[in-house]
Amino acid sequence: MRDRHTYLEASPTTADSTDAEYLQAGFRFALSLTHHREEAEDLVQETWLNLSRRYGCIESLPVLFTSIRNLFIDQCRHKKLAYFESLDQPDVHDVASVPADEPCLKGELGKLLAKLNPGEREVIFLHYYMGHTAEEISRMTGQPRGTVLSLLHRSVAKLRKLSDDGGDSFRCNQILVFFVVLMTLARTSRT
Amino acid sequence: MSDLRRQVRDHYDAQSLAPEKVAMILGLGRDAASGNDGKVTEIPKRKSWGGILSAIAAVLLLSFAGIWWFQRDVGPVSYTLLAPRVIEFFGSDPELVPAPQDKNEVKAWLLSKGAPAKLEIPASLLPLESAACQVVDVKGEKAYMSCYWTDDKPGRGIHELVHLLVSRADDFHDQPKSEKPVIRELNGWSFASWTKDEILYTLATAAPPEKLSPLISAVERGESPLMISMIVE
Repeated sequence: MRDRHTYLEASPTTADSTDAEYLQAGFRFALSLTHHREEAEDLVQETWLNLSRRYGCIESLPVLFTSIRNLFIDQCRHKKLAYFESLDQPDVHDVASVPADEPCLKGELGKLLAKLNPGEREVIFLHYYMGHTAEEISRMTGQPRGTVLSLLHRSVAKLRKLSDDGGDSFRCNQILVFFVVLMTLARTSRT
Repeated sequence: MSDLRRQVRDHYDAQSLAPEKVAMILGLGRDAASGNDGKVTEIPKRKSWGGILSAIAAVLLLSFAGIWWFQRDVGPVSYTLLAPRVIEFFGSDPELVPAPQDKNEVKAWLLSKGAPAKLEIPASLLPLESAACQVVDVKGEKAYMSCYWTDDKPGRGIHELVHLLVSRADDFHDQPKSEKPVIRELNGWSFASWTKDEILYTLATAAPPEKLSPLISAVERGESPLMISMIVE
């Protein structure tokens, strides 16, 4: 994978290889927002064509990301979709920084990410995939750094809770299956 | 690198656009950049003052045309408008032209203003003293008026005046068609109207109808102006 600094500092170019990398990165970013493959494809394609039509080329990855984000927000407004923060979620205040080491999540990450809202998936993607700091994310999204840090912590905590709940339910299912097998064996031994 | 970071990277690295999809979007992007994708971004035009002025001129023109359309002469006007117009005319301190005593000169003056050529001053008015002449506009149609004193006593006023209004019958509708005078009263005024040789005659006075009776009796009898002249002499 290409290093994030290469994207941020890339000079305007029309080279197909760079464009293709931009396009793939844009698609993944769109996927983090929509969590739907076809919608992400449409989103990145429309953004790419809009930028090409207007500027003739894609200047940099942040420009592409910002445009994708703006178009996604426009589409949500057009579809009258709104994402609400749950009041049950504990809010995290005054987070100094993101922990360097986060243990692995149990279960399939795709299904866990599907439970997050677009804003939460966006910060997860920008921080853990693209490697942006909270300061960079705050500049990109126009949110205060503290809000970004809080959102990151809350998103990871939510993922971890979903992951743990998923693990517990898996364990419960295993016990249930084991119990059913035992009952079946007992019945067959009586006969 | 944390385990979560690696997990997220593995997840998103596994998601990518198909090479043919990438090629297609890049191709479309190149077309869009060169303006060959058929979609043209229109630059907003500056407001044209010429256009605004043209619109204002068009609105004014239409307004004037509308006013003209509603106020234009659209043909004969109702005869019923004549009496109120005469009352209104004398109620507004009109400018009257002093009339000569020779009735032929009075007739000549009326003809010079456009009165019908076959105009005849009724015989009963010939011996009366001429007072004034004027042309009265009735909603665009002309009524040629001559006024006469019915009395020569000192201090006489408008009640001693009788007015003859002559118009073309075609300029009005609803008027009396017969040669026999039809009397009508309105706001203290009396009017006697008849039609003869396509000319509408109206005698008017600011007095009861009895004032007109001796004047219209000769008309009812069909006496010619000449005969009256002989009687007078």
